[in-house]
Amino acid sequence: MTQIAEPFNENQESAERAAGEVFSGFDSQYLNVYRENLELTAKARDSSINIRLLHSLIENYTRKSLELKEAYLEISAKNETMNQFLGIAAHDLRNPISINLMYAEFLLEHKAGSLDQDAREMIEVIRDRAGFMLKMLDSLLDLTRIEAGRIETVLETVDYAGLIKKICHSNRMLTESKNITLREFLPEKSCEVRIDPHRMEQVISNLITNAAKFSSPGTQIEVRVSIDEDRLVTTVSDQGQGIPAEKIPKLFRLFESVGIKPTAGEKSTGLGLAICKKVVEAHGGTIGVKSVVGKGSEFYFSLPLSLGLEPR
Amino acid sequence: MTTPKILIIDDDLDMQRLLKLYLKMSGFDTVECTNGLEAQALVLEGGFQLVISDLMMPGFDGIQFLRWLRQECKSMVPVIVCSSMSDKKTIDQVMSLGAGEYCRKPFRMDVLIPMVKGLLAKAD
Repeated sequence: MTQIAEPFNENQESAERAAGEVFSGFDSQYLNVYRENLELTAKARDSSINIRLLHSLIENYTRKSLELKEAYLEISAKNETMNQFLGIAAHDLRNPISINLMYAEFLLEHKAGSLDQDAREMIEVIRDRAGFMLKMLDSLLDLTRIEAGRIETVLETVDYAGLIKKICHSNRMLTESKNITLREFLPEKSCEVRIDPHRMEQVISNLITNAAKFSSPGTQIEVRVSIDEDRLVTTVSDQGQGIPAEKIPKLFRLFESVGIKPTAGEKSTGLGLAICKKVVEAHGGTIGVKSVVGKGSEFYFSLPLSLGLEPR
Repeated sequence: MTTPKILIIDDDLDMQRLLKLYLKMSGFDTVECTNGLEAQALVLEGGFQLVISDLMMPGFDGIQFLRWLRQECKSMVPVIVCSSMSDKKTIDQVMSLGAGEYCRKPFRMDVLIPMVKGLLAKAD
């Protein structure tokens, strides 16, 4: 049988021919059984090839996922070290920069009389640059905390309308210095919410500061609060330059500059909106923007009322 | 009326100098030291109406000093903590240990001086 079976493996047609010659005297029923046997052998061979293939695929997959897991752990560890380093560096840098800022302020406030104009202006530059570095450092510290999952949201029950009024009040000095009107529109019924007021103030102030940064004198910034079904929606809209549609996806990413010039040469850290996004998301909310070039932008974020936020 | 004497605890000599300058300009006397241990000895000598302390200092830090001052020394002298720390946990801890005010660095003197005056008035 094995002698005959050998060539049969090659090709079913020639096998049948050969079988027909060798077994010409045999009865056709026997030939049929033999043919079925051949087909089954071929199928068995195919499945054994498939199983081997499957085995090697699984093996490959397992190895790859182990490699990926190792790489992931390695990157996580590196990331954690990086974050720790950034946190320490930012903190240790704060003190000397604070000294620079405070010394410059002292000179400008108490020694201005004995300084000529050049000296005064240079010290003002030192003060302003030191202030900017501090802002940048604080944002970096914030981000490292957020990245490390250590974002502190200390939830409190807050009168949201009251909070908005307070934030607008404290930002009015900035907007008025650019001759921009800042107005708030609040819902009639007051709204008590469970949020981190400090973090939320950071978000709303950032949106107002940004709006002012890209607005011209004589324009208006509006802060609106509304309740849309199960969400509390806050919008900050301006009549500024607007943002081209293709730049919008970059806005909330770290250190992405969209290349729009502030109206009074203000500086940007490139971190503000990324932090806003993280803070809003930590509250279970979403943030976004609608903008028309030449007409203005409207930044909005919504917080779920289901997360302990209740209109009263 | 005698001039109120204020103890400044800060390991940063440049910060010490600025605090001293501003406080003197506002009519206060000051004594400076660079850590909590030195401060302990000075407090035990007595004569301070107010303490301004940093938090992160080598050796005996601001938190340890504050704990010693209130719990062991049982002193009620008002304390303003000036630090660059900003996390709520630290500030809460400092306030619960009995600090009267928390002033984050960098601060403007027109923020610190009213704090000093306010605490001194309250202590009277």
